[in-house]
Amino acid sequence: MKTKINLILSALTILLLSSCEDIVQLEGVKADQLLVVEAMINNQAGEQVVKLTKSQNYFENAAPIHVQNASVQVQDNLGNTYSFKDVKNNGYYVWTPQNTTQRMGVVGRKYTLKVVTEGETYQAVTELKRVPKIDSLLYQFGEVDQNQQTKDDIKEGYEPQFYARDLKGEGDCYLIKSYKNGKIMGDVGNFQLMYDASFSKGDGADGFLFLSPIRRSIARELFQENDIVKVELFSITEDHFNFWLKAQDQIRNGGLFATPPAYITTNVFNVNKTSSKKAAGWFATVGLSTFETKIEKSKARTGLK
Amino acid sequence: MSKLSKILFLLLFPIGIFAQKVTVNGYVKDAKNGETLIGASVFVKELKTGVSTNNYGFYSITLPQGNYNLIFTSVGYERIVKPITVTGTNLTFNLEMKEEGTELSEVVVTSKREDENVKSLEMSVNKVEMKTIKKIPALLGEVDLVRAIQLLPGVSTVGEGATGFNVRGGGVDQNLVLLDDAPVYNSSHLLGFFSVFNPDAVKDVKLVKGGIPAQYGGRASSILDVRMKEGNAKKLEINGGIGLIFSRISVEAPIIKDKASFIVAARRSYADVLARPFLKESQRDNLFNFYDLTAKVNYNINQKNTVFLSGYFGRDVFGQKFSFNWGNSTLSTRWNHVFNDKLFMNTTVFYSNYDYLLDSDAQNKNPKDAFKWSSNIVNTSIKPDFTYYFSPNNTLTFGGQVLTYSFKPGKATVTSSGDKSDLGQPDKNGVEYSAYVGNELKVSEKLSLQYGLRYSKYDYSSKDDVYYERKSVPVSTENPNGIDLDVVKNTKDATIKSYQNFEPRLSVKLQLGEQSSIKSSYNRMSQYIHLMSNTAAATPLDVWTSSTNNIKPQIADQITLGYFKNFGKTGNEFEASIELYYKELQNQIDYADNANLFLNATFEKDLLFGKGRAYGAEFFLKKNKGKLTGWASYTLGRTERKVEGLAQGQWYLSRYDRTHTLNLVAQYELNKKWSFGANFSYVTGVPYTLPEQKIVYSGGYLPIIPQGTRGNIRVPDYHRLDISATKKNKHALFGKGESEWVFGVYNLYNRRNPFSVYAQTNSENSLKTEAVQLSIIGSAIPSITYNFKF
Repeated sequence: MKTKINLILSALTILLLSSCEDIVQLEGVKADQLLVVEAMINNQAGEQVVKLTKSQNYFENAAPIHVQNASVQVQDNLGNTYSFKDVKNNGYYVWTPQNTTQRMGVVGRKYTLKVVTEGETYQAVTELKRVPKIDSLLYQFGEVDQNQQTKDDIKEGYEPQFYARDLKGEGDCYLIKSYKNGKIMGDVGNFQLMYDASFSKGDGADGFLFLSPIRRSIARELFQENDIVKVELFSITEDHFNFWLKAQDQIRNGGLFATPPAYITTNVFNVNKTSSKKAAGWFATVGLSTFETKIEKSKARTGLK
Repeated sequence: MSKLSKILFLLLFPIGIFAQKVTVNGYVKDAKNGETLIGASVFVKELKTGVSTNNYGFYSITLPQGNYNLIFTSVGYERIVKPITVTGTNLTFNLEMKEEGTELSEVVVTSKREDENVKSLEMSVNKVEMKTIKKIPALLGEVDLVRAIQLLPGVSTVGEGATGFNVRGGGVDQNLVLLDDAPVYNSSHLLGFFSVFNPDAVKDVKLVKGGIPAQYGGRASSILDVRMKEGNAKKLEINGGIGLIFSRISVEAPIIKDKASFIVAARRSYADVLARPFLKESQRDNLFNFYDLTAKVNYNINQKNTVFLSGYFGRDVFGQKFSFNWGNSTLSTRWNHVFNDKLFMNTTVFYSNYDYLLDSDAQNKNPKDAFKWSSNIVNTSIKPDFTYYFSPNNTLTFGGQVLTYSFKPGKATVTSSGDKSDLGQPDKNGVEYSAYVGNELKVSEKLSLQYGLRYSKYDYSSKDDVYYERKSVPVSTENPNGIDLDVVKNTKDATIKSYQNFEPRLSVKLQLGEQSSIKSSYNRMSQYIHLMSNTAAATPLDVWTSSTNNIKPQIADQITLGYFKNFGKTGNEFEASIELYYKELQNQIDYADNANLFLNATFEKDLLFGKGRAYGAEFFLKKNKGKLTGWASYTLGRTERKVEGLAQGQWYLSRYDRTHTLNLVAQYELNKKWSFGANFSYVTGVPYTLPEQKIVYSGGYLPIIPQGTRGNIRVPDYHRLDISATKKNKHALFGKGESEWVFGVYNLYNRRNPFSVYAQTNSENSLKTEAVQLSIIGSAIPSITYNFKF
């Protein structure tokens, strides 16, 4: 919902006469560095990664600092322990399965992350949520829409939509990523989020077919014949959904209708609550459904929009 | 007998005491168009005492029998001396005054009585005539009442183009904006760029910031009282203008000469019409327009009865397929009745509505996948006000009001492939009852008093079968502010919560000779409605909500002290004042991090409550006469809030805190043909909050700030110069009437004034973050307007 409101309001702002934006130089505020955790352990077979970095002053434009020599372990509620190793010394801690079928993530299990670095122990707890299947991916030929980015003079093309139905029972949260010929579309600031089949909690769309604007959200660009379109649907916890909402709000927070900057929550905490060393980021475990298809003229539909 | 019991005695037995005296009363009007004159002075030469006409041009003065000379004065009009003989019977005396026929059409900047600044009990009051407002250089040449108000001391905004205005540290929702007594909830078109008031239909504007008399209530910080013209009672008059944004036209004429007249005024923006041919079809859907219609009829039935009917309807419309539109409508009827020579009544019945509608499928092309969202606030009210004129030195006002509120804070319908669901907040109702009594008393030549008491009671009820009760809980990810809501069963329409408040008001004036005075005032105001707005500038989507069991009424206490002096050749050429104010606000709302205020039934969970304070000094100097007129105003002020959960529970600067505000307004009448205007503003930047750190996540940067941080930087200062030139033509288009060209440049020296500074990721390089300064107006904006009248 908020997205929509922001969209309207920013459209209004654009209408306004001669507004303009200038980059200005500012000194940041000094603050204690945070340990940053980024992980999305999924329910597929294969390697899993936990990435560790440190926070920076907002206006400092150096490369992020990787955290090395940390001990990283994940334990599930059945007592299985998974060790992550920084093989390349670049802050990417990797768990490698013993064989091609071994899976770390299973729907319904709870996972606890433990990171030990610079004498402090950090911990995060999460659960791997159920995810619905993507039923189909259909597309229609047409003119470019104003929501879509156009490159050069492409005015027409195929607009894909993916079809899936929210699982019965309130509180399923999802994150959607889409790809064009293997290249991700969108970024951290605008990946599509879902609460049941709609945008946010309380929309009352439990068990619905995903709402039309969400189905169409993957068409950030138009596709041409033989392009490959791929959609990934991740199930996330409600807390993680809230984290994403807050994060995206903060990334887009500017202009005439900016709200005061707000704290972005985390699920990673220092075991020693009195320590001044704190963490940020999110340790997530997700269920993943993917669907991929090649655009063919003969299979294009009409009347989807 | 103590002074107090004397006063009470006077109140109870007024007739007996003044029985041997006789009352002279009547209406004072403009000879040219029959408009009543507000605030004209009626002075009895022999007794060195006088009164002013009220908001309806009515006066009443009680005198002992004898022969007198009544002197009628009103700035800009010829002085009239009328000898009268007061014998046994009461006298009705209506008067029409002619405009001064000076060589040059002198610009008049002042309130109607020349010495009002010093002699009147009012303080913290600014009156600006439409004539003056029309000469202030305006953005795109559109004469704007609200933007003119912002040039007065103690008034500010959060930034260029922001909706509404802030008075002495109060929120935009703390101003009672009245159009012919009906409240207007959103005073702006196109966000805050243009005000909803059509300049051709407005007669008089008064801003009351302090020393608020007992008849006003319902808002914590100020009253903006806008009175519409009655319409020319003598002859047909057509005014109009063609500008870059709007075109406007107004027609006024007598229905029965000198008895009944009307005015109809309309405006419409036409940027959308002009732009249409140059846009691609897909872009045409984003077109934007706004319009308003203002109308008023009055009928002077007889000397004792006059009725008025006035209405306003305005709308901003954005988009066609995906449509978003909002606007106000008001309708008010008023009945002026003179019971006897001393008792005057005005009863107002009004209706006011502010609503918006958002529809993803306005043309109903795809009803299976749609989103509709609407919200409104509706008022209906009856409000009798009485004035009893005991003597020129003693006036009693009393009255009451019943005001009903209906809140639809937001209802939305989502449809997906035919599946339908409703969401939003349940409807709420409120009834505000109030009664007041006030007395203005000239105790001696030196000392005058105005004191009064207002009582208000508010009943809140809900249309839902449950309501919510806030409670403290341990902090968790679900309840990050440590607040949760209990669901309580409710009987629909039953009163859930009642509030009542006594609001004492007091103003004192001590006259220091003819040319100067000291005034002081205290007032308490209570307010039962709140605008939920968490953005840098208020938006048309913001929701008005009732005081509830969780949201307590806003209460303001203000004390002021001022020194007033007039000086110059004629004694009243210059007006000057210095005022100090201190205001305390209770039950102020701020918002928790990530507060969700839209379509959220449990929004009360995201509110934080605290208190506010504002204090400052206002300096004002105004030149009323001569070729050069204008004013300089400077305000040194501070506005703070203290809210648990924000800024570690310490006082922090509110988002409309402005340390220095300087406004210079000058108007120069060169000759009959040419006149010029200029204004300059300098304002300290608003406090703002920026993130401290960033973290890398999912291929981009996220900004990080400790919870509840407020105002860790200030936006750079704002300053701007505007100029205008007006060329009067002898004849309008068809060889009749008058016309003029107005040329202007807004933001003459092309400054990119910052509205806000915010942090963002560079749009080309997602690994680079930067601070961005947003300027709403980034260049000089020239304008040209053609106005006509015939």
